[in-house]
Amino acid sequence: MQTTTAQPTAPTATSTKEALMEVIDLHKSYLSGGRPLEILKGVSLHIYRGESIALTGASGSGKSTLLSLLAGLDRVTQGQILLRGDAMQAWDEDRLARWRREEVGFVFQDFRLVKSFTALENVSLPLEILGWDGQKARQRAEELLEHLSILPRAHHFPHQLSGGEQQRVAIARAYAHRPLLIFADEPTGNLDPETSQQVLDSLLNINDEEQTTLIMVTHDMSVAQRMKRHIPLRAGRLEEDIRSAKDEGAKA
Amino acid sequence: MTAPQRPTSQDAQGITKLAWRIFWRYRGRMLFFATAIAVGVGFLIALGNLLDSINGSIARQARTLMAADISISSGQPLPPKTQTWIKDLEKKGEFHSSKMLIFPSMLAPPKQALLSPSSRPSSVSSQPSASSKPSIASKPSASSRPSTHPSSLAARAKDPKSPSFENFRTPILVNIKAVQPTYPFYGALETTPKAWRKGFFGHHACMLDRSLAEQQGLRVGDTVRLGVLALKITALIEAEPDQLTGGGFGALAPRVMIPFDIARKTGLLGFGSRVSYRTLLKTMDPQRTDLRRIADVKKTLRAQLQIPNIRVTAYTEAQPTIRDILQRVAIFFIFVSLVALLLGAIGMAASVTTFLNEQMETVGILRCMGLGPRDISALYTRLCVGIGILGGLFGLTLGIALSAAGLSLVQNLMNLQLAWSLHWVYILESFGLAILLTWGLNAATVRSLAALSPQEILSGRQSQIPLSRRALFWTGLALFVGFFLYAARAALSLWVGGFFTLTLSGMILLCLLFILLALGACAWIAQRIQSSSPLAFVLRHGLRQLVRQRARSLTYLLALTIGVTLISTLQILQQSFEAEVQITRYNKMPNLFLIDVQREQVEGIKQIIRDFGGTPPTFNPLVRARLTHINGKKIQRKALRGASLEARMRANAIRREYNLTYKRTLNESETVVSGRFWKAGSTKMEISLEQRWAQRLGLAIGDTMRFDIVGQPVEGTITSIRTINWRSFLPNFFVVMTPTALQDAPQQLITSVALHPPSKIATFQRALVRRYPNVSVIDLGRVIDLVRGVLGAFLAAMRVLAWVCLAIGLFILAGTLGMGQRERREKVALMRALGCQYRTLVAIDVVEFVTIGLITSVVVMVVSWGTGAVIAQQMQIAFQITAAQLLQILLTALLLPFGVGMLVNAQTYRAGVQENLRRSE
Amino acid sequence: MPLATILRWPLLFCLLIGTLSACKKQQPPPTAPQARPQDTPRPRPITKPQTVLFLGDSLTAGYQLAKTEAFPALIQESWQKAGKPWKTRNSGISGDTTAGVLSRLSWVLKPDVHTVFLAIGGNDGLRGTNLDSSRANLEKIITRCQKAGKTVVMAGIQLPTNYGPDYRKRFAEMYEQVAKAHKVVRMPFLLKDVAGIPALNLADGIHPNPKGHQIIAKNVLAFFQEKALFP
Repeated sequence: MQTTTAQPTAPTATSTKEALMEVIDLHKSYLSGGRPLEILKGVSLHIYRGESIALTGASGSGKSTLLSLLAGLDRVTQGQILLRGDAMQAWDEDRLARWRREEVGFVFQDFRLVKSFTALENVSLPLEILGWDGQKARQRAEELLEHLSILPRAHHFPHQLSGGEQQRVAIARAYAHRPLLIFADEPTGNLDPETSQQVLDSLLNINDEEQTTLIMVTHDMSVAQRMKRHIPLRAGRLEEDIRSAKDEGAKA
Repeated sequence: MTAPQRPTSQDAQGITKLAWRIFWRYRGRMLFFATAIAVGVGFLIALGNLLDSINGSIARQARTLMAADISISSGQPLPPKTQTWIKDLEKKGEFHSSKMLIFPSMLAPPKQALLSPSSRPSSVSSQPSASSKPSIASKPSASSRPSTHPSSLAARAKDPKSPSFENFRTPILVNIKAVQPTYPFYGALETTPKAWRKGFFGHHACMLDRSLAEQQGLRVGDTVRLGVLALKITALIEAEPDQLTGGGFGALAPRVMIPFDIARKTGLLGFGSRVSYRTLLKTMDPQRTDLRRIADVKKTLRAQLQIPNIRVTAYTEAQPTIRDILQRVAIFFIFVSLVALLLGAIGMAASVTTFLNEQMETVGILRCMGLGPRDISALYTRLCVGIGILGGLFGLTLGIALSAAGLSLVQNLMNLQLAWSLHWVYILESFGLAILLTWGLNAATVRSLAALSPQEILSGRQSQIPLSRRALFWTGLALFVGFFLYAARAALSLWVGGFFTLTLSGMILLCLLFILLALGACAWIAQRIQSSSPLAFVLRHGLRQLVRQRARSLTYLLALTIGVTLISTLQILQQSFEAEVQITRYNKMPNLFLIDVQREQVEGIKQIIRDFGGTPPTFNPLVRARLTHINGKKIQRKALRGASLEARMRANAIRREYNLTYKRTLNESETVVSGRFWKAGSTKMEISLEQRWAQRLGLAIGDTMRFDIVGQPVEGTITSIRTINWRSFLPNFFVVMTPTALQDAPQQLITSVALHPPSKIATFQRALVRRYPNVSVIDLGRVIDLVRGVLGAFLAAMRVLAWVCLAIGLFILAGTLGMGQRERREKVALMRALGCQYRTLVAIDVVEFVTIGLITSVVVMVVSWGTGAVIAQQMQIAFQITAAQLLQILLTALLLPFGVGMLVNAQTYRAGVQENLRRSE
Repeated sequence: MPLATILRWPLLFCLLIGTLSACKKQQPPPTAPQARPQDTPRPRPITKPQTVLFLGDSLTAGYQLAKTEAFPALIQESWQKAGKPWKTRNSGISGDTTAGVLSRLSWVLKPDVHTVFLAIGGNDGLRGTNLDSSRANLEKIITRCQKAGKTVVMAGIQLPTNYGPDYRKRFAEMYEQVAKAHKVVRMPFLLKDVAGIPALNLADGIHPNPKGHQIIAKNVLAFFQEKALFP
């Protein structure tokens, strides 16, 4: 296991491949009680295709904020996020939305399934948004559910499913349209250890199979350790950038 | 969300504190719940209170109309015994009494009406001495009738100052009222000059109706002759409080008032006089009238005066008709406000249920902190009661505001003197009703919420508070029964209350059925649209959104359809009603009736009407007849002695003389409801009866009736039954026969004439009577004005009500749509995170709201058409609905949910993903 | 429901008119028992006209009384007892005026009528009618009856005292003058010995009760005898 400090200047070791996302001196502050509260205080980072990154840190360290900025769910205060060299803050909401529906998948801590939709419908949703026809979307959704071995629950509504099942549906939904990037916000936070492992397995399996980039916020070190890259945050700054040996080997 | 903290103690105080904290935390929503319920409560309070005020003022007005509390009227002076008894009442300090005489007589205006006033006062003042000796002078022939009354005419030859026939014109019929100085007990006599008492009592003076003075060219100061006296006109009467008293021919003649003391000196009283003797009683303290005492006195008087044709009337019984009408009008409004209450209750219950659902998590936490089901139940019951108290307070405030507004409206339109008051009963009712509804409608939900185990809640397995069908059923039943009882109480009739309740329940069930069908159809369609086009996506998701949120969709579809249905039903009714009234628009409405016209006078009268700019009307023959046989069986005169007055009146209805007519064709106000009206040339003896009349006599088609027409029997067979639209003001008859049967019978003709402006009436009347003295003219203008006043008030109130209903509907709709906002925010955030575009999201919601609008408009059109028709039939107005009205309903129902939905959700659409995610938590 | 009630007001007007136009009517019960000769369409010669037609208003009709209690029926009863062939026919209509009688003459002037007993005009007077027209109507009635070959007997009527001496005098003079001008047998006052006496009148003080009608019948019979009518 090798450790490098996370410097703004991109690590030369990994520059052999063009970065998918480039984060340059990112700042984010909110107004809180009338005073600006700075959450991110200059974060720089490169993200490469096929990576799995764990963002860790204590509550308030800014990991979730970083995630939502990366996903284009919120606007940066200062700094830049480049997607394949293109500055994202210049995009309007529609452009961001298009990007998300084409290349991004989400997994949330509390699943965020549409309560009035069945598991199958939830999974079909991103495909439908992409403009798939209903039948095809359904078939793809069924495949994914099958793959995650929850097909028998396909016609159940979220409240009829257990937490693990719900999260697997959420994962299926995130992968349904074969996105380039998956953002996961504490996907195992609400689950017991055993289920956590199952869910994590699912996520990493798909990550491997589909060469999807996975960016996950977690506070669970055992989870973080299973990722190729581990970036702990503290008080709005990157502490270090830990790459697993496995990944190092692959890059070399 | 700040999770309420565990109460320090679990005693009642702690629970109350906690309830208050929740109440304060969600004060905005509590305000909405309270307002939803307050609207209906406010309406009920306002109407009840208004009705009380109107009733009270009618009673006061009745006093004015009688100018007394009790009036005794008879054809003779009261027996001495009664007079003494009344005097005793006065001595005891209970009542004031006053005497009055009313009789028709002939008044002779001076030959030169505009004689200089200075030339006559002397002759007037010299009069009293001249009329002191009675003498027989008025008997024109060798009459066998002894005359004992005083007359001064005999003296006229000897006394040059006494009024002589020669100085006066042809006498005219007037209605004399002789009053004592105590007159009037209630109300005010309006005169010109105002101080009418001056120079009136104790003098040979009189006052005349302004109309009479103008017609005859008389002025204050002129002298007229009445009986044997010359009377100086001291004032002109502008308005008289007890105008409607006094019957017979005199009632139609202009009023002349004289002092009671000189009535006897006119020589008009005494043997052979036809005079109405009145004694008026007034309680000493009218402010604190003891109704029971008045009833007692009246009863005693009735018992004492076992003389036929003596009428004893207490003011409390006067004007039963108006009171009855107002009562019924009020019932209609109370029904409408009950509906508003129901609407508010539905809105409140639906949104409180949503609120309680959202409270599940809090409940779970509280349960974990050690609160038992009982505590939870107590907590939320207290919350509901709190909402009820706030609702009651709002309702009361609204009620006071509304009844103040209604009061001034009624006051202006009906010219009633209303006093503002608020009975404590209404305060109680307001709070009681609001608390009962907020508690009662949510009790089942609260109980279910309390019964949930914390594990069920916290595991998230229970997404909604489970409501048992049984609880829903009982709540519905209680609501139904409560509504029925309230309606029946308001209507004082189980039948009317039942009719109303059933119509309403039917309407709601119909709406529910339609909505369920429509939702089913939507689900089916959503299932079928699977194509990949963006439109299909939007449609599929819009419909699915509607169908999947079944409970919520049902709630607001139901609230919306019922609300809009009621509003549009009201509007349709109002327009049907206005259309009805317009048929009898003022300018076309006949305002005069001519009776006693002879056939040969018809052409001449038509000419006079034409000269006055009126349209010559149709003259209807009137034949007097008496029913002698039904189906060949003679009608027996029953022994009615001892029978109740009502029974006697019923019997009289059969035996009384009828007015028949004959005609070839029906007029526009008549509709045949069964059988067939004869062809114009029918030579058979056929009869057509008015429906109600036929029912009262138990007659049907095929029965025969024989009439005695001045000695000649005429028999015919009933071949048709008609209904009559009496609002037409056309002369109509219960019994119509073929011309063959009646055209040779003795008859007169009657007609109704529309003569406008009404200022022409006096000259018209004079012109007509000069040429055809036998023709009587009845001026309906005043009665028509009164009816129009009532109708106007009714229409105005209806319009206001329709608008208020609309406002309530919008308000509740906004609230109901708002109640799903948390979920909508979450969904919007998620869809945005998944990359759905802003306009796609809006389009999905547009589909949902437009579908809601479509369902609503279709349901509303169908149901309000039906309800409108049913109610219109009950109110006996022709039901009409125009294309414009349909379009209006359609557009309202279509655009209302769309507009309100967009408005309510605008913030959600604008907000960013993170903000929505945060807010939905 | 409420509207219906409001809208039914006009019905009240119509009833009102019914009451006014029928102001003092309400006559005998419908049990008219008279064996009235059914209209004899045959011309006069076949039966000798022996009917006395009483043409009038409520006083003749017997306001509020049975038709058998009204004086025309009492007169026939008396004639029947005496074995006389004469019959009476009551053609009184409550509230009727001279104009009304004039217009219904053709309905009542049947061939079997021998004599017309005319007692009309009271309502003209009570309504304060211009007496010139009443007089003209009376004259026309009499002329037409006489032209039809009927004997006319006219009874005088007096107005209540409260109508004032002037008008009452003119009213009474009208009968006198018309009778004189048309050579009609005149009974000065129909209600002689009855008018104004409470015991003989109904509570309204103007319409005779059954006892009153008996006295009227007696007076009319006496008058007939005096004038040697109807032997």
